[in-house]
Amino acid sequence: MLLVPYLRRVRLPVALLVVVVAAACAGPGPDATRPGTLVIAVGAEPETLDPHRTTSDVADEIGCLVGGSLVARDPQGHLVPGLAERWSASEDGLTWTFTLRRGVRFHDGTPLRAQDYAATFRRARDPATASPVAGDLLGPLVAATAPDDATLVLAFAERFAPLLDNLAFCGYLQPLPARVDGRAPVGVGPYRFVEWRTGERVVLARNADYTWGPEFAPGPRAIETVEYRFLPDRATQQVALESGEVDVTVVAARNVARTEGDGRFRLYRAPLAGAAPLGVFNTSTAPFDNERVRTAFDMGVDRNALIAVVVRGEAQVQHGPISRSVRGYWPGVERAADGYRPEEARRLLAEAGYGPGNLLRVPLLVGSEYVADAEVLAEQLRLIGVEIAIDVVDAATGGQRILAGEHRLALITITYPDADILYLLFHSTKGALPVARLADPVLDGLLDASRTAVDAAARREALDRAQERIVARHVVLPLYTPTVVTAVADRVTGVVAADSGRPLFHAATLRD
Amino acid sequence: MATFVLRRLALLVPQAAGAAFLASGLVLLVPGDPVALALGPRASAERVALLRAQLGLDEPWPQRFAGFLGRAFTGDLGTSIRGGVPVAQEIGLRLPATLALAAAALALAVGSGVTAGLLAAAAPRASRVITGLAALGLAVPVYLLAPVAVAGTGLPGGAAALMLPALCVAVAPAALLARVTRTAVAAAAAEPHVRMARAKGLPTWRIAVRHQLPTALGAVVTLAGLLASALLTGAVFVEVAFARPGLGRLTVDAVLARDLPVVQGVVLVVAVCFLVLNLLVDVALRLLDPRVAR
Repeated sequence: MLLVPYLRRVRLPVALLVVVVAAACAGPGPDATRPGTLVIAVGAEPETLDPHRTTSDVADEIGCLVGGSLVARDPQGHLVPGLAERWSASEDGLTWTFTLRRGVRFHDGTPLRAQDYAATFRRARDPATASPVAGDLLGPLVAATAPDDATLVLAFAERFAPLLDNLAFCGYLQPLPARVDGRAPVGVGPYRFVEWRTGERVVLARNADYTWGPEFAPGPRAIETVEYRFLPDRATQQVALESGEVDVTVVAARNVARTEGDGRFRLYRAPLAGAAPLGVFNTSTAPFDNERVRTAFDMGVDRNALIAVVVRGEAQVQHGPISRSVRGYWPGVERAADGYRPEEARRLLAEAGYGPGNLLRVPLLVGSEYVADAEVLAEQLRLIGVEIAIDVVDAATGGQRILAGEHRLALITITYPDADILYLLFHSTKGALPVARLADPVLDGLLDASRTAVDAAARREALDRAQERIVARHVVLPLYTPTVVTAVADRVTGVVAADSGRPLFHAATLRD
Repeated sequence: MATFVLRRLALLVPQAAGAAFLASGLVLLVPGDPVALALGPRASAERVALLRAQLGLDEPWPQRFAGFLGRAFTGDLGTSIRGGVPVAQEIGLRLPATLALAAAALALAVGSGVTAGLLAAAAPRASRVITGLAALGLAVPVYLLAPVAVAGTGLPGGAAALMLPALCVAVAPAALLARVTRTAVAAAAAEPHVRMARAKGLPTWRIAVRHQLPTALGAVVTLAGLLASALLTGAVFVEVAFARPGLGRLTVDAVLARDLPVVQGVVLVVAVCFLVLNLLVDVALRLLDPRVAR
């Protein structure tokens, strides 16, 4: 009885609340994907779109649409002319001359001249720029000059075998205009920058004047607008894909079966270029200074079981320090691998002096993304008589501890498309990321040779032998290469799979 | 009143500086080198040393912090380590979204929380239902609520793009407000003026709204002020699930990257907002109840 007059009194606020809730739930619904716009969901938002200041893969991907590179990589993975029509190296391999394609224009209408490219490379190398990635891609570059508008000359302090591969990074090493704005990039690519709404999206529009693309995609693109949506949460990405709000997204392993069964999407599977996770031993201290112990760990891990449990089969067993999808991979590691032999592992540990009487206890340093992997590894290694203590840290702390050599065994992530990463990880004196702390003159010699090789075959040979050496000495604990599964909505047609398996959109159109 | 406000405004500067000092000091205590993180594993030692010098990281921290504060007065909050972007720009790009979400959530929480609390205090039968709902609202964590809401409705567009996340954020504060309102309104029932009103034979609802609620408003306004401050950086789960820009996400990312200039800048800005809100709450309390000033 009391409630009735009371309700009359509070009618207004209650009614307001109902209206608000109704508006929130009914709303105009998700702004349905507009025709002519390809929407790509990505997790991490770049901190800047200045190619020289960023470390973000997404910034590089967007940079590839806004810009271009001297050398392009075709869908089969071969290097072909990009913004440079042709190039040649001097006899000693220290000077490279590039002849630029004519008629290339920045989005603001200024023609691209070789002087712009020289200035771009000088900016990337300028210590004041403090470039985290782009500067290093140029290796031992000492001078970039332009004798005329169409000729770019690069001079190096020593031979730099990865040069052409590195020059194909179309985001990081694209030509930049005189004034660079990390919030509103200007380039020479098939799409021009339209807007960046922080925390939401970057929008790009087709450059109708684009006629200077590489041979496999020379002209303007068919899709009018490309939108990169920043959806940090994997679950949100999946919802957005299924509701039709985004056309392209990477699918988490647990959602692959569901997405495949949906029928509205095509899935593209590409092994990750790198290794995630890769186990690294600190070989400078006990117990992993003993090669027997490292071998025992290698034999004590059942990689197929690990893959089945942790990533539901969406991975390939990895046998060496780099995966099949990294350029310069040596297939020989597959023959050289030990395989799962727990009995043999136990015997090796006993030889090294460990057993029930002297239990081997090892701390395993992991980031939060690898806790499941660590738990499975701990269980598998328990069966060969090793006790693993899992130590979960954030990326910053983990990185610092590994670089300081405070780890014993750690799981790390490497994403890098070229075997040049071996130099950075395993060269005992010149490697920037000495994860294994191994002082092996033979390996150092092979890695030096891979950098200064006279031709591609010699470089290849040096990298092959380096991988053989790393596997033979059990410097790392390879586990698996996760498969990156990308879902593409059916309305996107003409998608080409690259040799890596990744979807490429240069020939794509949208069906409405 | 004017002297009170002026005195508080004068105190605002040292208080905000103190908060930023503590927050950035805490970030320095955790391991992890921001420069090594920003430049990535491939950077040479010289390059790292150079960036450290550029950012002033080779100076002692108190000195650096003093410089930061001095420049902050001119609106220059420094440059982020990741990407080299002006911190003021990073904050400016996200502040509107954060303020909009906080305002919408606060309006929802106060509207529904106070109404429910009043209803519960005045009607014993409604009380049980409302108390139960409030307990549920407090028990459901927002990191669960937000993804479930996204899964249920898809990513909302238009007006719902603000209201749905605001609803998720508002649930717990609304529940809290409902309980506090109920208790405060019920407590006011024992006040002599309420007894007087009842003796005059006024209807129950009238007594509750006219005589009990004003007495209870002090507690409600204080709590609403605290909740509003917490909303400024506390909406991070909702920001992630709904893919909204905001200061919460910016702060978390900056802490993970040990991007000290960004952490300092955000804390300074949020501290100023917090202190201003607090001041508004105190002014409101004085207007509601002149006894507070004495």
